[in-house]
Formats: sequence, structure tokens, C-alpha cells
Amino acid sequence: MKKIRLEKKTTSSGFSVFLNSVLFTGVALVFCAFIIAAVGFNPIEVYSKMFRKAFLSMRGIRKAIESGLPLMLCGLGVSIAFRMNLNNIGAEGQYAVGAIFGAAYVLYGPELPRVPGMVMLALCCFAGGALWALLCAVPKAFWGVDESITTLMLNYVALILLSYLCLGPWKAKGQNVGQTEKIPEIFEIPEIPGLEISLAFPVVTLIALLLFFFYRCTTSGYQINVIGKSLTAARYAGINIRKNILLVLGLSGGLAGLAGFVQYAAVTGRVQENMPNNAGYTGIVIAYLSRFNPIVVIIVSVLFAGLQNSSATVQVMGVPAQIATMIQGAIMIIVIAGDFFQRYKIVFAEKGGKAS
Amino acid sequence: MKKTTISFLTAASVLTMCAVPVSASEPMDVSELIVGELHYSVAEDGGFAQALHAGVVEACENLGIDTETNLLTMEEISEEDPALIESAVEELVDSGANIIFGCSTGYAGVLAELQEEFPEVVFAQYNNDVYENIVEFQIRGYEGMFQAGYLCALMNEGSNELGFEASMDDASVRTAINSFALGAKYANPDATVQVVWADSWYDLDIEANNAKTLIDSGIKYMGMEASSPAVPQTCEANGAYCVGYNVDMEASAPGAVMTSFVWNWTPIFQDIIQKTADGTIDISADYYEGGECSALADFNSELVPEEIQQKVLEVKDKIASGEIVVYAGELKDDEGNVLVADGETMADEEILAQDFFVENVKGGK
Repeated sequence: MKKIRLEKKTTSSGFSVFLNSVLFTGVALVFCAFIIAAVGFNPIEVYSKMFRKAFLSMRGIRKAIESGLPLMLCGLGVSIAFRMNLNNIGAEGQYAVGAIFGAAYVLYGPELPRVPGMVMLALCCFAGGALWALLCAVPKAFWGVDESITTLMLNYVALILLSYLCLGPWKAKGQNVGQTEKIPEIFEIPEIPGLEISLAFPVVTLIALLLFFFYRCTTSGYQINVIGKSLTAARYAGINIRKNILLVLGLSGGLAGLAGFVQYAAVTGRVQENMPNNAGYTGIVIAYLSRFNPIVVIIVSVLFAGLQNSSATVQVMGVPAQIATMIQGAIMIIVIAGDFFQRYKIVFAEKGGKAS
Repeated sequence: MKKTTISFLTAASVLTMCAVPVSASEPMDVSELIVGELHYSVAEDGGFAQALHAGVVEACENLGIDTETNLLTMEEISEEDPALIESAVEELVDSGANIIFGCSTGYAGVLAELQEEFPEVVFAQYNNDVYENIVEFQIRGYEGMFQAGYLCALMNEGSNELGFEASMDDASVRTAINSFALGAKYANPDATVQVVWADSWYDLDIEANNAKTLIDSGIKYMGMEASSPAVPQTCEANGAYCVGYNVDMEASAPGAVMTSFVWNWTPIFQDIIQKTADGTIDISADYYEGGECSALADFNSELVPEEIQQKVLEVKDKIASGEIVVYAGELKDDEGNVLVADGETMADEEILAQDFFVENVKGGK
């Protein structure tokens, strides 16, 4: 008689992770194909139009990058915390507070020339997100308060604050929309000439690269990895846990706050009532799928954003909006479920000894 | 003048890219028009989006446009994601849409930008008059709400206190509260309106709790500016009555809904679509309509006596004839300041941007 058990894999190459993700994306597409066929459409036709529009046209790629910008920064922010086993569920709120700080700077800050002004705006957004995360990091570091709960709860506080400001004191005049006035031109992030892609994209990619080398090549980065792998080992090695909690959550929140900056200064040009629009939560999924690798976060974010934008393509063919959302959901859940096989292997073993 | 026109035409025909925006002014058969609409939620949301969707569908049907083939509905297009809005519009244009309706305020800015990219398409947007290159439409909701307040105050015999369940603190919501209160005052000079806030555009639990709070404090009749059927159902379960909102809510609580304030977009949309087909549309037009667009649904005769129905209909006629002006002086806010002096009326811009509460509103913000 055979016995099946699960064994944790100790190593996995980058290539096998990639292969696994591709395989399970395929499984998800096959799964959705049945549902698309069940509502009376040809799945191959639907898929081919989706991918052609979203990823094989310059317009599609440009829009995927634009929608992907806040996802990238939330994903990067979440992954740095997750690396240290800190469950930062609060990217949504940190993003919102980043945007609030940004709008406050534009409204009340001193007038500066273009480049320093833009840097100050970015720093304000970063500071807003970082501050919001530190509200959870301090209780975590000093009294062991669970950060999953506090970061999650502060999301609601931040979103209500954002909506109050956008509908109340900061609302643009003459409109019924909960949003601020258009950002002054000197704060707008320009596009790369000829490509129509925001300059924010290479900057965010650069941040991802810096994080990549931070994890690989610096003592702090190494310490984060050690704490994430084993808290006991880290303590034994004399790593200052408290300091690292503050540093990592602050940085994590700051990056999510920068999502508010790029969305404000490069995409919408206004701070809006419901600005994060779930990017903070999608960022968690992206971080997990990317295995907290900053470079992969960028790629996965663009793929996700393209998938989200393709919902319009699917709908115009007559496929209901719910099916479009379902395809996104199914891909997410099946790829994450598939990740299980990346972390564990199934071992068939002969049952040892006689059963009593 | 003629000469310049001719030379201009020659120049245009020389340029094979005929970029002159003539296609928008070329008349075509209205039934061949392709109509697109953008919604932030599903179209059948039981509230705001559904009222707009119903208006588009009915306008198409009245004009002989086949809604199966020529009406393209885009749902769940987030207002916060410009790239998604852009994708949706491009898909609609690729599918031949001649006119696109933006059915939520948040699309306005993006559609105004896209209009420059697709000048041959007419964009119509739910908004106040802000942009010059898109058609904007809005309903004088205060007319219907005035009638709703009037009805509640008439029904509320022996008491002066009415209730109101409000969503977010926003100019459009304040308009609903104020006109309801003014209508109540028209029926009973001592009537007051107690407001409770959900601080959310849609929340079943909070809306139900708020309605219960009003009922527990002794209020029997209430108005609402909320999208879910929670208020009508709570009223029904607790022996109170209300006026539904957005769409006819009678079916969701037949024992409590006396009538509903219904956004009737059909006349506006029909006009916009017809003019688009004729090529006579003015893309800077602004529709701000009352009358049939802002009326109450059929009364629930089980709950509202015939004579009261008649009285409400009389008020409706008086608003239409101009005998009643909802925002006319003397009008005071809830702090006693005079908003409109005696003998004067409020300008549309101020009505649209209400940042006050009228005298007999309690629990404003």
C-alpha cells in the first residue's frame, strides 16, 4: 500500500518557478474556456482578441503600463514587508495617505521650480505612506501588536479620510465628482518622447532594480532575509529586530505611498475619492505571485493591468462583464493554488512497517 | 466667403486624409446608429446605473434602434482607472459607436480628452455644465424630491417630524435633502426633516440601521437618497413608510413604498440620439431638465389615499407652470442666514453646488 505525503521543497530554481506559473495560467485559461463556451462564445476567439489587444499592440502595452504603475509600487511595498514575514495588508491605506499628503503639498506647499518641486511632491507622498505604516510598526516593534490587523484596519480610516477630503474641503469647484482640482502642470510627470509612456515607468523600474540589489548586496537586505527565514536565528545572530521592523514597514508604506504619487502626477492628474481602487490588495497578490522578487513584480503588474484592461475588449464582444472579472479572478486563484506545487512536492512512499 | 469655402474643400479633397469633422454633421438614419454606454457598476444595479441604462434602452427603442445589435453596454468600468476608460471607449469606437454615454460623473475629464482624439464620435456625459466639447446632462432632481417631501408631510398627520436617509455629504445629496424639506414645509409650515447619514454610497447594513434609528425615534414617514432597498424593507418590517429612490422600489417593499422618485432620462437621451443622427447636435450642449424627467412613479394606491394623490399631482403641475419655484425667497439656511431674499430665486449654479441646508433640516453636516 502506498502512502502519499507532502514534502517541503528546499530549493527551487527561478526557471521552474516561471514554468510552474505559465503552466497554471494555462490551467486557468482552460478552466475559463469552459465557462466562456457555456455562455455561448468561442473561447479561442475571445482569448485571441483579448491578448492581441492587450499585449500585442503598442496602445495595449502603453495602457497596461499606465494602469500597472500603482500596482508595481504597491507590489514592491508589500513584498519588502512580506520578505521579513511582516504582513502588511495596508498598502491600500498607505497609498491613500500618500495621495493625501501629495495633494496637501500641492495645495499648501511652497512654490518651487519644476524638478525640486516634483521631488518634494514624491517625498511627501512617500512620507505619507511611511507614516501610515509606522502607526502600525511602532506598536508591532515595542508591544508585539499584530500588524495584519492594524494595517488592515487603518485602510478603512485612510479611505474614509480620503473620501472626506475629496468630497469636502478639497473638492474641485463646479463638479459633482469627488476629486481635487487638476494638478498644476509643473508637477506633471512627463512622457518619454515618442513612446507616449510616462517617465514614471523607468523610474519605478529603477526602484525595483535598487531593491533587487538592496536584498542581494547590503547588510540590511541580508538581515531582512534572515529575519524572514527564522526569527530565532536572527535574534541569535544579534540582529536588531525592532529597528528592522520600523525600517521595513516604513519603507513598505512609503513605496505604497509613492503609488499615490505616480497615479496623481502621471495618470489621473487629480486625487480622487476612491483613488487606490483595490491596487493595494491586488499588490498583495502580485507580491505573492512574484515571490517577492522586485523585478518580477514589475512584469507581473503589467500582465495584471493588461488583463484588467482587456475586460473592455471582452465586453464589446458581448461577453458579460462578470465573465471578464471572473477570468481575472480564476487566473489569480489558480496560479496561487499552483504555487503550492512549487513549495511542496508530493512523495509516494511505501508504507513502512505493519499496521497494528 | 464662398471662395474660401471652395478653396478649403479643394484642399480637403487633395488631402486624402479627410480630417474635416464632417462625419458628425452628415445626417444618417437614426435606427442605424450605434450607441455605447459606460457604467461604473453592473447596469442592472437596482439604482442609479439602472435608471440611466433604462433611459438609454427606452430612448433606443422609441427611435427604432435595435438594442440587441446596436446598443453596446460596458459595465464595471472603474472611474479611477483612466486606461480602462480609454480601452472601453476605443473598443466602442472600433465597433462603430456613433455616440457614447458616460453614465457616471467620474468619466467626464477622460471623455473630454478622448473627444479630441475621436472627433467623429459624440460624447454625452452625466455632469454639470463643465466641458465645452462633450454633451452634458443632468436632471432637476429637486422637483421630484419636493413632491416627495410634500407627500410625506401630507401623510404624516398629527406629527411634524419626518426622516431622511442620506448617503454621502455631497452637493447632489444636499439637493435631495433640501428639496424634500422644502416640499414638506410647503404642506406643513412646521414640518422638520431629521437626516441620518450612511456616509457611504451603498451599504445595506448601515442604511437599514439608519432607517431603524429614525423609526425608533418615532418617525413614520421618510425620504431617502440611497440606492439599496434596505430602507424600504426596514420600513415595511417596522410599520413605517417611505418614498423610494432612483427606480420604482414598490416591488421590493409593497407595504412601505408609497411611490418612488424616479430618474427619467428617456426624453433627454432620445433628443441627444436623434440630434446625433440628424447631424444637428451641439457638442457643447448642456441638458438640465425637470418636468417629466424628475417625477414620481405611480402611487401605491393601497397606501396613498386618492385625495392626497391629487394634491401631489397639483403641486407637480404648479412646478411645471412656474407657480411654485422650489428655491425661491425668502429662504434661510439652518443657521438662520438668508440664502435667497424675498421675491428672488436661486441661480442654477447655486442649486447645483448646494453647500447649505435649509432651515427645517435637522442633523445636516
